[in-house]
Amino acid sequence: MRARRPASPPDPALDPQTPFALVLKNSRGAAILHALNPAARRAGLRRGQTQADARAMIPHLICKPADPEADARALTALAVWAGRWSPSVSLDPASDGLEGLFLDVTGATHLFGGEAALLAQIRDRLAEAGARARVAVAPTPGAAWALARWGEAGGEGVIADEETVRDHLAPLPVEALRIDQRTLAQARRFGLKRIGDLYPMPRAGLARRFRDGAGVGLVQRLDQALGFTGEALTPVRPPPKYRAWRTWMEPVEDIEGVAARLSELAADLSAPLLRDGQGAKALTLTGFRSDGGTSGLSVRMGRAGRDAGIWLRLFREAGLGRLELGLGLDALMLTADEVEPMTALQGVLESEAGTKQAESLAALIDRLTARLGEDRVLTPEPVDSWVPERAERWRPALGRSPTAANDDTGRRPLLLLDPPEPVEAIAELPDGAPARFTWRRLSRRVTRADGPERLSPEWWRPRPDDRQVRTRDYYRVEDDEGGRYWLFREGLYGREYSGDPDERAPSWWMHGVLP
Amino acid sequence: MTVAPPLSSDLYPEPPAPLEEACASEPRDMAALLLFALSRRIAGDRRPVLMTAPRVWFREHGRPYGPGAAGVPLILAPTTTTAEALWALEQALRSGAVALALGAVDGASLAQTRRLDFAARQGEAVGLILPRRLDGLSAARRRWCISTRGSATDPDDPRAPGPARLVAELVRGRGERPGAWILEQDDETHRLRLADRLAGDGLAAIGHAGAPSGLAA
Amino acid sequence: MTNFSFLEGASHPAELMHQAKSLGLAAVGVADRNTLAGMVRALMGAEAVDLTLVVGSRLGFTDGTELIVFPRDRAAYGRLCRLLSLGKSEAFSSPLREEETRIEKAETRLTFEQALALGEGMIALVPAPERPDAAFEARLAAWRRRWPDDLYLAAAPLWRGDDRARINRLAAMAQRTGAPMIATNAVLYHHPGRRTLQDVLTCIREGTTIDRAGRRLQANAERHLKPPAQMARLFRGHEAALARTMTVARACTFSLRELSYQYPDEPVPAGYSAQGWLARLTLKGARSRWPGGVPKAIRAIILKELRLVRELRYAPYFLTVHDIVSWARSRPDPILCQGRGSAANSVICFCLGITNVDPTRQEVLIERFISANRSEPPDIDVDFEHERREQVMQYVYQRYGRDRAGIVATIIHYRPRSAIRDVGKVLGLTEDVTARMADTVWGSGGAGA
Repeated sequence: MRARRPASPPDPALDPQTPFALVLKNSRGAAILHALNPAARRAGLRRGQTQADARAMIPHLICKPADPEADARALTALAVWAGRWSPSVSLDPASDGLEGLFLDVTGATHLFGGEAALLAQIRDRLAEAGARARVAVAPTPGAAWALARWGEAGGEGVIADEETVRDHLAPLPVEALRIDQRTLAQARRFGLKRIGDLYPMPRAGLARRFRDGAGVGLVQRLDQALGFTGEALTPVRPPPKYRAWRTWMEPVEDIEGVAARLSELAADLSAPLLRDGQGAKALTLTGFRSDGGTSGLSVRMGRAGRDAGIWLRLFREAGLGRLELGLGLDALMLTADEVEPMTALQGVLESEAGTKQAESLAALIDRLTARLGEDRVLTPEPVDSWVPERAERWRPALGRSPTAANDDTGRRPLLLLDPPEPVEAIAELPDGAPARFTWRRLSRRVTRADGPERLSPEWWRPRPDDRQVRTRDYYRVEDDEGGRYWLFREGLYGREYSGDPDERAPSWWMHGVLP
Repeated sequence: MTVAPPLSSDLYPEPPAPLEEACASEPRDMAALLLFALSRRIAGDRRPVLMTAPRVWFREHGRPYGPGAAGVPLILAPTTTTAEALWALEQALRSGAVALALGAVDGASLAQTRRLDFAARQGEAVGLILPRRLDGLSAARRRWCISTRGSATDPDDPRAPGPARLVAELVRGRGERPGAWILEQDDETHRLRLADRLAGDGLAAIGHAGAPSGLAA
Repeated sequence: MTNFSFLEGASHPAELMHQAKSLGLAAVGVADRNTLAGMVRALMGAEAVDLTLVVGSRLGFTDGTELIVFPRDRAAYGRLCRLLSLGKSEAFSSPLREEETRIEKAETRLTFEQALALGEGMIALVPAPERPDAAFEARLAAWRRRWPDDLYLAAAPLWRGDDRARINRLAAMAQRTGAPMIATNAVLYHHPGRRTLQDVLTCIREGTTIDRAGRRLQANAERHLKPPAQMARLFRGHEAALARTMTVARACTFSLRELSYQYPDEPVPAGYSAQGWLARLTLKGARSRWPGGVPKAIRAIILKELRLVRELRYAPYFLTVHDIVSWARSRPDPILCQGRGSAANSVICFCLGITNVDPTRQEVLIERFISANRSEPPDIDVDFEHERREQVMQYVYQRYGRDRAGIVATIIHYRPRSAIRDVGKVLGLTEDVTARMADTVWGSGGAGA
């Protein structure tokens, strides 16, 4: 496994010559130096010093409060952006003031023209993005970590492979193995200063000498660095199984360029899907900007597919223009986020025409959804309930097959008001149909009516507020202008309302309009 | 009460043109308009119906209710701009996946309607624009104005609303004379058909001096 | 319907009677599904509030149609019982259909034809379906023509909004077919508050939880007893339909009180009456129990008991039991049997060898067993050797005929524990919660669900 690791000191500074430090309050409330700029370091300050001490040494030291959370977020964003080089990027948060990233570039270095070119590119791009980095490539994360921080090779970054890693590591100090202070102090006491000093020691002896598990930690770290045991890293984003990615020398600056590259990527992606008998239901296109940002665009499909042409069209509908190009993209990645097996048997039971119809309907819904959004292309789903507004639920049409609703009552309106609107009505007690009613400020006289259709509340449902849910009596009424409406009274006279002034009198509502 | 247009003795143009326009005579006629719109499908076409309208339209008039539109699979696409709505209609019509695409769209240009007409022909579907007013130039072959009407009589209960009725007024039709027809909703199939001339005009029924009795049967 | 229409009706017969009285009704017709099991409780409830009970049953035929019948008199009642027995024995003897894995114990298989054959003297009501169509009308007309007694069309308001139209339509149909319309209310419970329980019963029956039941539940709480004023409003314009309910109630004069205990004749040798034969056997038995002479006190008791038996006419019963017991003991490999319970208080039983409690050693009191005050017939429990009880049953069937012997079953009813468990399931509670709740209930409960 080839790992590589840049180490980047956080550099906030305004004037690089002025000593500057970020401070953090420790558990006792004292302000401790958390990060230093080079000028501060040159002046002799160290991390972990108290601000008071530091000020005593350097009175003109500028201090600002550190914001570790913001730092973490920034690191994560950087990690995502580093996805342009590797799909598996892991964080290495600051342990010594220098945060870092692990990039797994196994098997992919040739895409960038070799390890040296890759390291150069990473350093340059990071610098452009405002992060000075030290880089190294090694067979293990441990070795890469060590070499990035302590390795030589000037500014270019060490390149080590399985053969050379041992030699590269030997001259480095023991602390390059990522051990804690106590272990470090113990090692020093035994006169073990360099990694090379550890090589001739018998392992069991090392373990024995360093008690309380400290020895084991040291041995483990050494083994990890040399590749005798593994080390698991957790990538910031889980690498998708199906992805296609390409980088270019010349940044892509316009939509058509993106579209052209996208069509190449689409072809790249559909090949392995086809090979594995899978289809994609969701795709994400990620653009990596030269200025260090990323921008993504996703589309979803109702049915799994692997037709590159359709994907391209969907992305166009979704709007390639939504990708922020900045000064240009120098890498694009297309990933399949949701994948499922595609059988050739799909639709074999439907008739030819039926299948084609279903497919073109699904394709239409995909297209509409891509442009308008999932929550704006809807189809009703029937729900088994007597309560009219609950009897159907509007869901995204994506992936669903619109079906016709059933109406056994023959009395339902064509247009439903949601929520029902209050109405004033005059009706004979206890349960006569309205004779007159006023809705939206218009008074209407009823010429014909029937009802009530009585619907009792769903007593097993928790009530949203304390108000009692009462029985509804629905009436179909027709007024003297030919309008037909669906009204209800909530609350039964008698059983649910006795005329007590403390009780809420039954009220009338307009729930829908009948043709 | 609005005055009813004179009824036409010409044949009711039941088969729909690829593109038609229909508006409601008054806002309260919207349900009738919707029922009419749903009837403008090619006979026997079981493909779903797409409807697009601005959100405010749904807030004002209510949303289409599946159980009330029995037998019609629906897709709803609330849109924000006219351009979006026209795009959605065109996509739907051209795809061949829907029987009917309805859009509450105002101010579509002649060119835009031409595109819809073309798309409808391609997809062998029907496009129906529901503007607030029928004005301007349009490639729609017919223009309708719909108003609701007193229902027919229910044989079992003269005091109840009977089968729904509406007046479909053909305001303009290419190669057709303007006219008006009374359409009635069939009890069983819920589809619109030409009303029997012999059956009484719903408005003439019921002459109770008082309100309908509160018989809660 | 009472709760004897299992998992359908949600109120006890007594509750219905009580409520009916408080609503001002004069008579109540009870028709449970394919059973008369609730009639005794219904009668007791009705008598407690001075209400007339009209006994009936709601027959469900194998083709899904239904017919409610009310026998006018004792003879018709007898035919109804026979019809129900026929329906339930058919269920047992008919071969299993392909799809079924077992027959529900309480299942009844009846056809309209079978009901027709026994329907004399029964007033019939045909319940109107939700959508009365031409097919229904044809069936109604056919049934009307063929039924040997009065046949009505029962209309109940459904509260779906079109009741007026529907009842009008039914009235027209009634007119055309000659089956007069009668007003009913399709009662499932006595009071609207009982609706929640009825919903739970539906869920248990359908095997679902309450939030998945959907429209299998009733849409409203209207299936309750209604006062006459409300019925009048619901059937305004059809007052005749309401009046007919009284007509039917008055025509059905049968009361369960007419049923007296009729014990079948027990074969006795020529020249003897049942009582006489019993006396002879008893004395013979006494002599063999006390070979040294029957003690005077015992003799007195025997005579007292025989007098009581004569008065209450229980002799044949004792003879039957004796016959079975002696048959069992006379097998080449005698079957062990023993009488127990309150029968041990009877010296007659001791003499006949039915029980083994020696009255000289143990104080016996015949009044514990039978008494002129108690209206119940005696009950002699005899335990037979378990492995051989099948033989005994075969003997009984053989001697009396398959049509005249039967095994008494109890009505399934909920015990508190299982009730809590099943209701808990419906409401979506987990099993450990319901188990814990069930554990708080003691014992097996008394009065059932």
